[in-house]
This record gives sequence, C-alpha cells and structure tokens, in this order.
Amino acid sequence: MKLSIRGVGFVGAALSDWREAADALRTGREPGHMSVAELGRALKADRLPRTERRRAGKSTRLAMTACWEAVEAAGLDPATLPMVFASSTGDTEVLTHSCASLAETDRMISPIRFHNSVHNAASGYWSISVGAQEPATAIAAHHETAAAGLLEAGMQATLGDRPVLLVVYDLPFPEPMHQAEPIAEPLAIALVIQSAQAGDTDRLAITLSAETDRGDAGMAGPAWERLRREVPAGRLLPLLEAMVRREPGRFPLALDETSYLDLSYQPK
Amino acid sequence: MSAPSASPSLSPRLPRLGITALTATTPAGPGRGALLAALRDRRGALAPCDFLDVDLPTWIGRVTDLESVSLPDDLADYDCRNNRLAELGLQQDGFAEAVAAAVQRHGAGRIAVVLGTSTSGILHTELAFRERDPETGALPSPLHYATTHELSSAPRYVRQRLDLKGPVYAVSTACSSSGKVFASAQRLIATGMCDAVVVGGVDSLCLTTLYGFASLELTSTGPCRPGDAARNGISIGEAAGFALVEADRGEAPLCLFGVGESVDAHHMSSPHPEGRGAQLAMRRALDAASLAPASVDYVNLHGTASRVNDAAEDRALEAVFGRGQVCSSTKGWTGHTLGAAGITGLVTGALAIEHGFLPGTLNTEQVDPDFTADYLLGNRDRRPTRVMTNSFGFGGNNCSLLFGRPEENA
Repeated sequence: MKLSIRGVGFVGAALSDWREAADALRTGREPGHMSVAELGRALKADRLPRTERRRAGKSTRLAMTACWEAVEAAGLDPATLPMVFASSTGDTEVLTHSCASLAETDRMISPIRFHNSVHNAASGYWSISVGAQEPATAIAAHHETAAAGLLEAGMQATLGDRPVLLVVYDLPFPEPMHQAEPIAEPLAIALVIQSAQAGDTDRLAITLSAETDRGDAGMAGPAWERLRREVPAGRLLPLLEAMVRREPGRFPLALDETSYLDLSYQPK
Repeated sequence: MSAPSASPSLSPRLPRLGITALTATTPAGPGRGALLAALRDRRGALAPCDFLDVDLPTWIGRVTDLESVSLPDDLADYDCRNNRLAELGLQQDGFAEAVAAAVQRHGAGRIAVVLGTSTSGILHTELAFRERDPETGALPSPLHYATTHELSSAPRYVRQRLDLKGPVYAVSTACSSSGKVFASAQRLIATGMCDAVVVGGVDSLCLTTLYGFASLELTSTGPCRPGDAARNGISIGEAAGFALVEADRGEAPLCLFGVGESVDAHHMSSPHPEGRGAQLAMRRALDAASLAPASVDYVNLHGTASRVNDAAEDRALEAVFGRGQVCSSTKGWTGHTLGAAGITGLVTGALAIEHGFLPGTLNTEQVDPDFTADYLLGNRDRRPTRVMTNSFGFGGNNCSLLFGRPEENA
C-alpha cells in the first residue's frame, strides 16, 4: 500500500496540539507528562452537541479532539470520511467503574455508563457530532493496536481510493486495574490518510512482513521513547518524528510476535 | 449539528469471497447440527436466567457446560468463559481441520484472524473485583488482563490454537462486530495482505451486558418475541462462530457477495426511527454485490425484539426492498448473541440455503400490525439462493452481509 498523510492530530505529553508536538519532535525537545487529571484542559468538548457533551466519556473526548485537529489540517468535510478508531481498551474509566459497581451488592450500572462502555463509543459520538454515515470501525489489538489500526485504515484508503480518518488513542486505567494493565498516560494520535497521489506527496509504503528478528523502531529521546513504549498509541511516534524531520526511514511496527507492518517513509 | 451528507458514497466493489468452512456454537448446542435441529424442530434454547448469581427477571441463551471446557496447558493464561466458548466452537464441524488444510495451501503467515466481540472476557475482571483485597483494594494476582479481558484475547487464542501467523486483531463495534469482520477480511484479501482469513465472533454472558441492558430497560421478562405486537425486549445469548474465507475460486459451496457498513449518526443507544443507517448498510451490501433488492430471497433480521429496534428495521426494509420482503428473526432460538450476532445470522442463513427452508420467528404470535415486511412466523419450505443478514449495534453501527450459492450469482 502506498499512502500519504494529509492531516495529523495530537493530544498528550503536555503538548498543546500537533503543532507544538511537531515542533518538539523536530527540534529534539523532550515531551512532558500529562496526567489524566490534567487531560480535561486539553480536550475540546465544546464542539460536541450539548446532549453528547454531557454524556461523552474522557476517552471519547480524547479521541475526538485529535480527530478534529487532523480533519481540519486535511481541509476535508468529516462527514465524508470513513472512520477507524483504534484503542487498546477504549474507556478504561468506564470499564473499571462498571466492574467495581457490578461487584457491589446492588450491581447498578447506569444506562449512560453502559453505552459508553462499548468500544465504538468514541466513533459513535464522533459520527453523531459530524453527521458522518460512512463506515466506522473500532478495533483493538492490545500493544499492537496502532499497527492494526494503520493496517485497517490503509486498506480502506487504498481500496476505496478516498481519505480515511484513523485515530489511535489510549486512556490509563484507574486503580486497581492500572496494576494489571499499566498504560502510562493519555495519548491520542489522529491521521487522515489517503492513497498516495502521483508524484506530488510524501509516501508511506506499508507492507506485511513475516520477519521475527526485528524489534520495533525506537525514539532517541528517553522521554519520547518512554511514551512510545508505555502507551500503545505511542507506537506511531517514530513515524511522526520522521514526518516532521522530513527524513526517509523504515520502521517495523509489530502486529504480534510473528508478523510486522514494514513502514517505509519517503518525504517529497 | 451538521446534516449527514446527502448522497453518501457506496462501498467499493471488492472481489467476492468463498466461505470454505463455517461453524457456530450457540445456546442450541455445539456446532451447526445443533442449531439446525433447533430451527427445524422449533425448539428454542432460551431459559430463565440462571447465570451465576444474577438476580434479574429475564431469560437468557446460555451455552451449556462451558464450565467443563478446558484449554490446552500452554494456553492456560487465556482461561476465561469467553475463550472456553471459543475453544468449544473451534472443535466443531471440522473447522480446525479445514484451517489446517488452508495452511497447507497458503502457509500460516498468509492467514489472518479477525474476530468480533463486544465484551470479550470482561467476566473474568468482573469476578476478580469480587475478590479485591479489603485492605488495599488490590485485585487478585495475576489477572491475566491481556489474555482474558482485552478485546483481542479471543482472536489471539484462536490464532495460537490454529497455529496461524498472519495479522490478528479484534473488531468491537458492539452488536455489528462479527458482521464487520467480513469487511476486514475482504480488505485483507483484496489488498493481497493475506490469502485467507479466519473471521467470526465470540461473545459470552457477563454481568456488564445483563445488568447494562436491564438498566436501559431493554431486557425481556420472558423469552424474547421479535416483531411481536407485544414484544417487550431482548434475551441475551452467547455464541462462538467462525468462518474461513478465501478469494473465491469457484469451489466454495457458499460465497459472500457483498458487505455493507454504515453508521446512523443519530443516537448512541437508539436507532434512527426510519432506520437511516440500516437502509444504507443494506443498500451498500447490494451495491457491493451488484445485486438488485429483488434478488434477495430472505433477510435474517437483526430483530432483537426491542420495540424501537424492530420497528426501525422494518421501516428500513420497506425503504430498501419495498413492502412484503420475506424475513424473520432467529433471536427467539438463540437470544441476541451481541458481538457474535453477525456470524450467528450468517450461519443461520447458510443452514437455510443448504437445507432448503426459511426459519420462522420463534415465540412471536402476532406480528406488529404496523410492519410491512413478510415476517415469517412458522418455518417455510423454500430454498433461498441469496440471503442478507443484518447486525446493528450501539453507536448506531450497522453491517449487512449478502451471501449465497455461487452458481446463482455467477
């Protein structure tokens, strides 16, 4: 598959948006940490319809904030874009609270919490907000979720010959689940991708590889590397770094222990 | 809110797929034979809820004896109700053997696994919360989150069990999940990423869905009655179903002609009243298959027996097919198997094609007088050649699969 990236959205790492994240990646500045408590300020919930604003969970707002930025950068009508929402667990807060409530004597789970617990909650809220009726999928592949999302979105862009919105996002679990499944901090990366157009764009070539002896590409800066390793969505950071530095590069991205996506980035 | 685009584009036309192996394990029992016998004998598998210590006045479709299923020792970390259901499902209908033969043809690295689920093994975590340390609040250790609760746990389990080495991921779009995996498989094959894909879905009973649907007042107090004038909610079931799909070489007994995916863009847990997204999914499946509505002999409805969902689906059916489309819901036999509903519907349709009958709608006495479809109550002796199955889920997420015998759509 030969793709190009038309827009990027970024939430996390104490950076205000993709512009600031790109600047940090370009200059080698290390990112800060963003706790879940600080996440609220970074999220642009005011663009949700009022009913949805009241109901949407944090992971939904996290994903959607990145989506808005990517779609605006691409200059496209979001209603026209197929959607691939990839997250290792989706709304970790809702799931934790539900499991805790169901262990109590009265076992209450509120209707809103229940419908927010589905993995496609974020894509549902997004499609309602922007009026999109294009196919929306929600996928998960644990630590390899970013690779699976990129594969699915890349295939849709290639076969449909049209731009596709991909967002990879993760929210840390509250305790006690955090002990069982540590996701370091919130992070969302959205990309609008399309088939590479003849000659005039950056190229991202993606092939499937059965090599088993190559680890994932890493980041030079330790704080960036920590973000890459400790948040599933962070697996896309080496690609983002090459994009902003306009450096050609190859990045293996694991789909699991026996197969990889081989990403080859070539700036224009 | 901006209006939905006026003329949404239809699906890309992808090559049709041959379905070379197919199985389902439902509350009717393990394998296709059990489901066929239940459908033929008009014997439902729903029963008053006796799952764990659940105290809800509802009926469920439960796969019996999952408690006694054991996983291979080297995959013990995957042990949970959902993966036991997956294991039981894999043992039926020669499915594992058919996949082994496909490995000989294509190589293990050329076969992907993409499965749908809504809740995966969340029951494992729900039960762990009952065992929290009263002092520290800590969960019992080890929880094995990645191999039980995480959404791709079942596809990884199935991949290891079948010795496959291609891509693996889960699709989790609530009740459309195991319909949409067929679209992913079509893409994996059409782009040349893979030669074959194991698709399907595994979803098992858990507290989250039982209490969650009850909180939405969507669970029926008796066995569900899809399409009935007095229908009053769903019966939750569990199932594991698998299909092996490959590029069609004219040899498979059953072909997937087209998939239609859409979203409602309306509400998180209620369908658009006119079935706006459902219409679009059905139209996209027809368009992807280059087939006219009149060529569909039978529609296996999503048909959950929720008041609003069934009404919206009937409206959508009328808009796409006109009045009198032959259809039924088989949720009265198995319950609504949620993330496994798409594959359950496909297997039901395959049985109808293979054995020459259309299943009626169990438990339903009087079809809602507002409905315009030909809603079958009793079984009908007629061999369909082309079947559509619908799966619609929370988040307004819809998927329609159009499939049938290849010679009828050469």
